[in-house]
Amino acid sequence: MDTPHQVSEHTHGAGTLSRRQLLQTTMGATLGLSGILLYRQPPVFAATREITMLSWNHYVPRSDVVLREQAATFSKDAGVKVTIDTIPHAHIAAKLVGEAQAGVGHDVILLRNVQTALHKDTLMVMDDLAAELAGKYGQWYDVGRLAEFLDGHWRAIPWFYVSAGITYRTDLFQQVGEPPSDSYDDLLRAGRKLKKIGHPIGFAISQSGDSTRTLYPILWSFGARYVEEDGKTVAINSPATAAAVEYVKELYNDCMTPEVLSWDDASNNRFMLSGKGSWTRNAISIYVSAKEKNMPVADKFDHTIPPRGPERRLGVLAYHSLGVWKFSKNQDVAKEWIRFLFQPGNFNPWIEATGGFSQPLLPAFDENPIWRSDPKLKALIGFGKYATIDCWPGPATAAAAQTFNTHIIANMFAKAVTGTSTKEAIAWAESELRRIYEKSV
Amino acid sequence: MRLWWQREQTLGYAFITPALFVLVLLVAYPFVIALYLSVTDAFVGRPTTFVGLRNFINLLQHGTFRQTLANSFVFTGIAVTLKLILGLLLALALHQKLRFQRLWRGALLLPWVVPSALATLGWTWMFDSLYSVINWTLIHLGLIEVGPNWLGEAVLAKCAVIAVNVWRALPFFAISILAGLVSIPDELYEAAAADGAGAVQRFFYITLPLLKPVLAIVLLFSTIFTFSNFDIVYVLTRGGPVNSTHLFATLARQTGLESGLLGEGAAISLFMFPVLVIVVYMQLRFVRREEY
Repeated sequence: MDTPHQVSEHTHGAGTLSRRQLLQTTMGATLGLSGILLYRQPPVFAATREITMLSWNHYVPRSDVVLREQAATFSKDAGVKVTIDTIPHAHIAAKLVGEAQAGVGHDVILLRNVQTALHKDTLMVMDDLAAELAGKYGQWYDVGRLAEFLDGHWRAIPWFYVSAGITYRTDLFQQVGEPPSDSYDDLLRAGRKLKKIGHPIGFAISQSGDSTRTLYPILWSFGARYVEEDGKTVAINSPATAAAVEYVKELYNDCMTPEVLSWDDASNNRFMLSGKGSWTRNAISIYVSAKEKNMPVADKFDHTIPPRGPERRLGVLAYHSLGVWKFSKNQDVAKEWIRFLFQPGNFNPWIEATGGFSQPLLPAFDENPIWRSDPKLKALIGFGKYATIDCWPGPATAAAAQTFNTHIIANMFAKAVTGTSTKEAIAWAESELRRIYEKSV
Repeated sequence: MRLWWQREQTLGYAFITPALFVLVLLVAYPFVIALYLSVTDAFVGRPTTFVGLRNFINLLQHGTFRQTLANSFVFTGIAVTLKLILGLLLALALHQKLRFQRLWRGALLLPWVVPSALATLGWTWMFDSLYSVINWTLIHLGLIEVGPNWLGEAVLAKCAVIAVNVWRALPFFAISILAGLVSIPDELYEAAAADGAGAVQRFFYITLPLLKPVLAIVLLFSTIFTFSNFDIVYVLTRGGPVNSTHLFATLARQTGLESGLLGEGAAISLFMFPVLVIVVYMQLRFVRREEY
């Protein structure tokens, strides 16, 4: 802090600033400021009838437009202005931590995957609304309960999920005489042939969400898991994990190219849209954007549910819910806004605007004709039955969120395919996981 | 008789308040909070307890953090050395009487003027596995058959991050050093030439000693900024592959802001603080001694 020092050195005599006076004033200003920061409350006159919502930039931008239109309708009917801020999905996690820590932010927030567990004590309990919606539209799918029903309470309302299914090229699979891969063995066999004709398969083995969401299901399908049902015992070191790692090594060497080591969440979309790729694990956004842009390749894409492994068939889905901060000054209106979004007259048009990308966790909305109108979306109906969320088989916990965010499983596979021995890679993952789970509450 | 608001005392406060406000609000307050968090087990939304230096000790036992520590020294060491050498060469070149001198000097500033995140986004495309213009050129020139996997291989990813950092900060070095060069009186060179000193001798006995204060300041700033770099790594590699390009800032974000471990995150970002304070102190002392 140079400033006070310099001023007092260069000013002399009566009527000018002395160091003491300056410090006094500074202290006053600092205290006033700390007051505002301490109580985290703007002066009363700034408060208006308004709620804010934090959401992501939807992969189908049209649906955000519909959401804002619905906000305008709600604003008119309820007399409360709804402002929706959308940001890139990768920035949501950091934004939520910032808001929770500061105790100020949006009223309604989008929570992704197991983020609710991270913030459960800072979120308003929503038992009544969850029960009300289940009463009207059928019981919530299990995955919604797994993510939101924590310590005996609904901490957020499941909003939608995104199928993390398989996008593949029908023409290329036909060309090599392979049916769409129903098992991971099928995939290895088909992938070898596909790579030979210059159309490798591909999924990220890198520090990205897509990578983890492809590798968790492989781990699970081979009978392995990173944590036990208790959500506390680290279980990565097992023969099943070794089998999964060996399988991915083969898949990487025989069916993919090393580029997958550098991929981010958008890379496999480009890989498929460029015409090079033959198989990837992604949401339906690849197909949807090809169709929107009238790309000829769109007709050649189709989808399947996740392949079956030696032990089970279990995929993962990207899961989204809506929560209200405990510190929100507008909790009732915020809840009213969520209730409004779930009215069939609002929820159905919004699902349709997403092109079927967003899928409901309430059975009644599964009846929406969107998934039956396009035969290429048929594989998605009831996808939730084959899939779970990132924490499986344990409960949603902060440790599961941290495991996901620090890319431990993806890095374990990345190490193994780039020369580290399987045993060493697993041992590394085990020590990283222990570090998280042993200090976690 | 002057009005109360015309008095120097009042005006003085009025002028200094905005700067003070900014310092307190944006520097002092976050810094104190970070110091506090780093000695607690702060986790988002949960009660915190004081843990002393446990975060720092735990970090030193953590493989990923030790790797980040090593990455930071390698990254800063190589990047700053390259920037210094290339910046000096560039400044010497621009100091010559060239045609279109102003144009060259203006063009030089471009990488410094473009917003860092945006420029880095451009680089991610140049290093992209599918659409890399670098690989395309090399392949079409017949120099290689398969393009290097720039961001997917640990050593190459480190090179890529360093390359973008050097590209970005080179103008700062070149322009600062150029300013230093311009301020060296021509008479010294004339006298040296008259005494029979060659170009190399003139460089080592006149240019370099007189540039020392400028070089020290530039190095000081650059070391600090390079150590605390965030945007290049975040946009280019997000710390990958397998944490091989993580720096303190990116690891701190991943730990503190994305995973909610605020205490540990703060400890990561403050880890280098004592070292940097010593660097700053030494360099500033050195500069003062040289100047007076």
